[in-house]
Amino acid sequence: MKKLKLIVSLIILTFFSLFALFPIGYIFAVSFKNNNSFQLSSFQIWTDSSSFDNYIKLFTETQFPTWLINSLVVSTSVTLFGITLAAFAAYALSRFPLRGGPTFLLVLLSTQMLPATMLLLPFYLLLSKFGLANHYLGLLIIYSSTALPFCIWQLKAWFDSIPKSLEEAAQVDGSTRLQAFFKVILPISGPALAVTSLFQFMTAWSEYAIAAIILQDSELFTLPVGLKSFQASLATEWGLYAAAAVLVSIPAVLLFTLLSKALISGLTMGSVKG
Amino acid sequence: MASVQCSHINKDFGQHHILKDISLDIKSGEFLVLVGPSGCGKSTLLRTIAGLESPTQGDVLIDGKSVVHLQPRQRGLSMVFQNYALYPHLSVHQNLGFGLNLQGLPQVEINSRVKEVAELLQIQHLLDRRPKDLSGGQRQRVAVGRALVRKTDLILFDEPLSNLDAALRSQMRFEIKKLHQITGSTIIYVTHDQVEATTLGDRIAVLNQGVLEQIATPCQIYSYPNNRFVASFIGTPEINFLPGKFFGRPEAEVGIRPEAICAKEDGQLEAVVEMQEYLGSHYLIHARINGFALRFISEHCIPEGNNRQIKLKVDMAKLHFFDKATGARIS
Repeated sequence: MKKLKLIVSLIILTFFSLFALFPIGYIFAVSFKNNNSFQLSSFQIWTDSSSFDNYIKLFTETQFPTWLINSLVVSTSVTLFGITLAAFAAYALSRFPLRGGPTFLLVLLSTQMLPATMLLLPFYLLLSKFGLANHYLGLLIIYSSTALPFCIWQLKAWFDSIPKSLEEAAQVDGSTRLQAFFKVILPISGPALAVTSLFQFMTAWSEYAIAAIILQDSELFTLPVGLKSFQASLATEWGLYAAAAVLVSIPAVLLFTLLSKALISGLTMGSVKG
Repeated sequence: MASVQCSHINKDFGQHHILKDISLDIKSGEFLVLVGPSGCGKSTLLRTIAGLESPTQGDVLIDGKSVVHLQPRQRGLSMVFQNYALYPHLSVHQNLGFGLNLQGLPQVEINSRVKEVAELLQIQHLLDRRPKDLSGGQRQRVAVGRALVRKTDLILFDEPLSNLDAALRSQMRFEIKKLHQITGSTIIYVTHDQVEATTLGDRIAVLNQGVLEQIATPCQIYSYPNNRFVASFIGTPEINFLPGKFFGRPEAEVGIRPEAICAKEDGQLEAVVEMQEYLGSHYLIHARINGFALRFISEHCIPEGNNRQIKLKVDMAKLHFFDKATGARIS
């Protein structure tokens, strides 16, 4: 009976694993094809006719390198800017008794309930008024502000779980409140900062709708907007599209791998005291 | 060494009046223990002296200078926290050297002072470990070391032994007392354990519901408690109270310490034995006298056990009288 259960579990797990892995294998296979075909005659990732031509073309004949740099600049800036703001705000909300603090936190969270598409027009009008449309700074402000409430909540939960006596000990030992924050609280907040940074980075890295509205100049495109330009009205360059999709996923995979240890402890943060 | 004066300290948390007009004068080099039941305000008073809480009213003076507007780092004191508050991301060596680093001392000086304190507390072999790799007792030593290494004139202890088991607590009590003798620093020590208070303190300050009930030497507190609360809080087993009319007061109580009573054939009081507890070196006898419960200490077990009628003799010189309404001592 136990063995049967195990076999059934294995079959189900294999089925769903294949289901999840199939699109990834498919996109790899398409990226190595030269005939610009989205249909595969056989499901082989690498065949005799496969080559790296699409990848080479991507870097030599398209604006992909520019978009890649743009995306990296925007995502990294959003992450650094957002995490700095979120860390200070979360620490203040966690440690200082603010009048109406809990209400403020609820209001902050309620902003996450508005769909991004609903805010597209107001965002665009606001940025146009300040001359920030078609500008990275506009994108940076929008990405940071929309991700901020969730990040503040996430980090506040972490700071709440850190005993206040740690900062108090640092203060008695001779540090200012700010030194205690930088020398004691931040160094032990690695898991929380990793999860929150990853959330910020991934939000900015994969966002399309806002970037497509704000950025009009192809020199300024981020990867999702740039990739969309491969879809022409007459012919879509599926090979290029697939190769770009593979490359776009690399930073995310690398980040997840690098932060995996911190992520595991970060995802369970607050569940165990101490 | 530093002297500390607390002058008319009041502390409110919202509607709650935690400290009520507390005035204390702690001499330079003294070991003062703040003792009282949970929630009496002893930790709040200590944190007010440390600068981690601001008094609603009143002043704190260290060496005659008001420090009430100074940050904790500017008060020239160190503190041992109840949960040790060791920095989890730093090694024991870095924990000990944290405050010295902030002072900007050269690394050679820091290493030498860390080594000196580590030897004093016998934690040299733990210097490279992280707090999570230490036992409760070892963490406690590191926390004490972190306070000692800065060589401050005033050290505050906030229930530092409450997380240790009984044997370790007794050992650390002895070591803290010894450290006080070596360093000569002024120590203010908070505990709810009256045994810690009486064994460690040069003087004890007993607090109850935010009020300073009495401050005196352990012997004075035990022998001449100011009021009913102090008499009942200090002393194990607890003092017995019997109602009666004394000194012409219709509503009064007499307090009799358990060791002031003994079973004797020629005793003045008749009692019935209810239960006998074996405590190793002696027995604690629970008896009843005219319906009132009474505990006393006996070297031997009462033969023929419970429900036996016995006669008790009371040392009349060791009686304490209290007003029943106010609880104040009647001299």
